[in-house]
Amino acid sequence: MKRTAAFCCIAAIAAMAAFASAPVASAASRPKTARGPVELRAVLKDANGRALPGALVQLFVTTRFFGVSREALIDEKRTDAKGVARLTFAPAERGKYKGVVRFSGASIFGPSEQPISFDVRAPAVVWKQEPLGVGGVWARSWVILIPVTAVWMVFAIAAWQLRAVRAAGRRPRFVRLDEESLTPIEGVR
Amino acid sequence: MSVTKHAMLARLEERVEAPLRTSMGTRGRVVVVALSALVVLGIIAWVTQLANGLAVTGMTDRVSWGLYVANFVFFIGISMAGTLVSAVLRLTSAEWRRPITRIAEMITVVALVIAATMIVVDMGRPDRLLNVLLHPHLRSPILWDVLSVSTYLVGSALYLYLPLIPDLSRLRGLAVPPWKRALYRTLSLGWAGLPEQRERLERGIAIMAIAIIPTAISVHTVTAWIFGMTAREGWNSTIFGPYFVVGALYSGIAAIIVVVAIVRRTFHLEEFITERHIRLLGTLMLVSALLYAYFTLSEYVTIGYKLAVGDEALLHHLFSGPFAAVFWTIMLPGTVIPIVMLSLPRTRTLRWIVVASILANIGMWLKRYVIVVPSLALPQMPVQWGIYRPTWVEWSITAAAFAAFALLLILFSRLFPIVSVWEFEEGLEATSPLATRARKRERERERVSVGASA
Repeated sequence: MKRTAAFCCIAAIAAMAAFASAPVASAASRPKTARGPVELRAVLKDANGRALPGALVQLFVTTRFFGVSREALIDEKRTDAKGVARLTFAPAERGKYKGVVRFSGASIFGPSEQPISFDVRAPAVVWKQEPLGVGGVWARSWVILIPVTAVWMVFAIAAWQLRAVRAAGRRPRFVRLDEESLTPIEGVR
Repeated sequence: MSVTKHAMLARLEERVEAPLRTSMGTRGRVVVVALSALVVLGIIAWVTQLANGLAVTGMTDRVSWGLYVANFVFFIGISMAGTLVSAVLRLTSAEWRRPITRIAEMITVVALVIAATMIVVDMGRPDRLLNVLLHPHLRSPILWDVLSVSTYLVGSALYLYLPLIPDLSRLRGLAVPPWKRALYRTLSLGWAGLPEQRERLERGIAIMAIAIIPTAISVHTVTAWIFGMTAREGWNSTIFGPYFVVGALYSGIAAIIVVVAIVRRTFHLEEFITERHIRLLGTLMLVSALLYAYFTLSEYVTIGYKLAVGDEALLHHLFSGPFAAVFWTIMLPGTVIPIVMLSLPRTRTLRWIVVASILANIGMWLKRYVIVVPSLALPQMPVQWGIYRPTWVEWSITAAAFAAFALLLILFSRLFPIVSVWEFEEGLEATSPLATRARKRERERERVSVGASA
């Protein structure tokens, strides 16, 4: 017969920077607030209150995908010697999140889960949005800019010939006086 | 120059200047009205699209590119061959180029204008067009394409304009409306055929002939990279750059042949653009068609041999699925039949070469469609294939693009000389007995000096 393991507490939410000193909350169901990536400490204990090490704990967050509400697997970790698993979640949008931390059961222990909810005030920066800034956009730009500039300079040299053509056409034209006749300069129509 | 050649030149001038002086005949007007009607229909369709968004097209979040991008790639291909053929023939001093270079250069500029318009139409929000320049992302192949297409457009316009100058100076005295005369006077830049002017002009043409070749190749390579830089079945290929260049040459030369044949017949230029010119262009087209067939074989054999999961589904759809009719039209009437027609002496006549060129152009347009649509329709997740059915808006704009292409060519032929008369004259002078004798004397002198130095 399987024995029941229980989450005695699904702990708290803290910013990643405050990982080491994350406070432990006593109740999981009460909404917590967070800024940036969220860390959840899940403590797994058996019916006698003893920590359950090496157990796989999964974090699911309820999400709507193409109009259907479902649970999305966000993170999974194994509990340490104290039965603690640190699960992380980087929400891209602010708002209230609901989910569940689940232990599917292992060897003699049956499954167990604990619902959670929390309020994200500022979403985590999970990707850089454009514009990427000078470093991102212009990195190695010379690979493109040098050949394009070179081609445009060659075009400019060719276009410069037009100026010379025009200037030559504007200059007053003379005829050469030969001994016998007036002959147009070679090339003049 | 002999009297016969003088008379020939006079006849050419007369034929070339006639459409600039006289108004269009009834048949010409009917054609222009029909083409204009198609363009107006396209404008109505575009306004509908602007008012209601891209939802009026058959494009979806799955198949987000359709006819517009296929048209863009097709017209870019047409544009590549025009200037490339003209520049290569000019640099290799191919004498037969003289009556056809202007037409080829003109096709380039007009096709580029249409191609650029297709991108604006495809954007859906043309008011955001400037964002490409205001917020450039130099790592994006889209920006590379904008840079290369705009560079190529400026370059090919300059390359078209430079050899026009001497011909424009001839037109200054033509009995045309004052605005036309003013246009010719302004654009001819005071050309008087002075040695200094000639030297400068030839230098400019030579510089552009060299510079335009890598530019033309880069344009189609970069267009290919828009697809090839994506890890998507059918696009994920290392040979897409050269494959597109060869395909562009094939369709571009075919387009030149069709336009040259129409111009020859419409303006009665049979004496100057002979069947030999068409046959020589046909030979160039045959070479490009064989190269294109080789690249196609290489592309599909390597994909088909490895047969990755996505590629298998794509090939199945192309070879025997919903795109099979289009695919085999590209392969047989679009590639194999033109190759056969251009190879057999019996079908290497003007008529059959033009037929082969029309088939090649239909095939290459379908090829652009097959490159764009099936790869996008192929699901990237285990879901159904994307569906793309072009709507009347897309068909109307496509028809308008082709009509505008023809209209702009007609407009050009009514405004500017369709054949480069001064280059033709230069060619006649080069082949005159006097010039031949002079060249022979020069060769003898060179031989003597080489012998003496040895």
